[in-house]
Amino acid sequence: MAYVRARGIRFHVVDLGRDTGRSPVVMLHGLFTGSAASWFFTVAPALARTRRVRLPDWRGHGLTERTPTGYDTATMADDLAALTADLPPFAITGHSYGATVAVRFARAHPGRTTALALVDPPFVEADLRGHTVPDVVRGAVADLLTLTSLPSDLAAEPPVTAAELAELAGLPVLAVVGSGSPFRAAADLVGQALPTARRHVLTGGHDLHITARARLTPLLGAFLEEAHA
Amino acid sequence: MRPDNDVLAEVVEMLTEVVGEDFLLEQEVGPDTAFNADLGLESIEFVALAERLQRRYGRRIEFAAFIAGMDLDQIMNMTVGDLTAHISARLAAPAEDAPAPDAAPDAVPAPGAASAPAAPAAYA
Repeated sequence: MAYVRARGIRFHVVDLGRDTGRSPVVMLHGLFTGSAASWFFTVAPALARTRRVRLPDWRGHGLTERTPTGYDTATMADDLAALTADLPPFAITGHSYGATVAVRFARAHPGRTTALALVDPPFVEADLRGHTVPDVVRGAVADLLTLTSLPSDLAAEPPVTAAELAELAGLPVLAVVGSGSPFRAAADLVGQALPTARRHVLTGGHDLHITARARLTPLLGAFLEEAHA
Repeated sequence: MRPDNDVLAEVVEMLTEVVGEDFLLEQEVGPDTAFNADLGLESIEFVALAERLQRRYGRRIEFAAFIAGMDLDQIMNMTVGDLTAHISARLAAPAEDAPAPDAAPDAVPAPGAASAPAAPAAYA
């Protein structure tokens, strides 16, 4: 699969690996500089040795069409449902905003998700000073900021709460945060809401798939195996 | 099996589809050309190239396994020659090592409503 028309939008979706009897894993990237490439060049190839892996480009990202609106998590969870309609129940790995959409998707479609891996999820208020985007924002990122509702959608998005996470009880959940990430405390929130969730702190910042690739990859692989997902 | 020069020509052709002819006209692409440093290939464009490679050569080129065995610096510094050497080696590998392209699930559109034909030229 490469390009898929869904919900009136042309999406780009990458499939790796093959059906093996294990649940597929759908890997969701973060906003702005994220794309299917975020996983394609980091963790996905190793996971694809044992299962099918799907990497969608969110609207406005990678090679998917840029829409003027629809960057709220409810709309993006509906995008995800459309882009995975042909799959059996699947595990999700979400980085950053991809983790937020993953939680909203799992709540909206309880039977569709077999396991949830949250990679540096932005579930806590963060002091983003020193973590701002580079001064020179060019190309697709600048277009997202100036031509779409993404900034206002993001500002209006209600944060994921402990109560919301608690509704996922029974689902295998892994939270991995960066030791230097502004969202490090999100692991504590996940632990309060879901005492059985596995939690790890890896040396690195927000982009753990890049900065901690060598440790994140086996961690996610083992979690998917243990979750029987 | 194809001589390396044929693979190089095919890779350059696919690269042209991905980044556009105007862009590549100013570049002399050879084995030493680095995708990132010389061509400024964005990572998602590299993904698009990988998808074309798989459509052209089938699963036997095992691009994902190729990537999985490299560290990020190696991926960042990959040259056209690194890629064509891998492709040539895979194409020369015994056939029982991997299914033929026609048998590859990813080489054809997935069945069902969510599938759509690939649109190779749309982003050229």
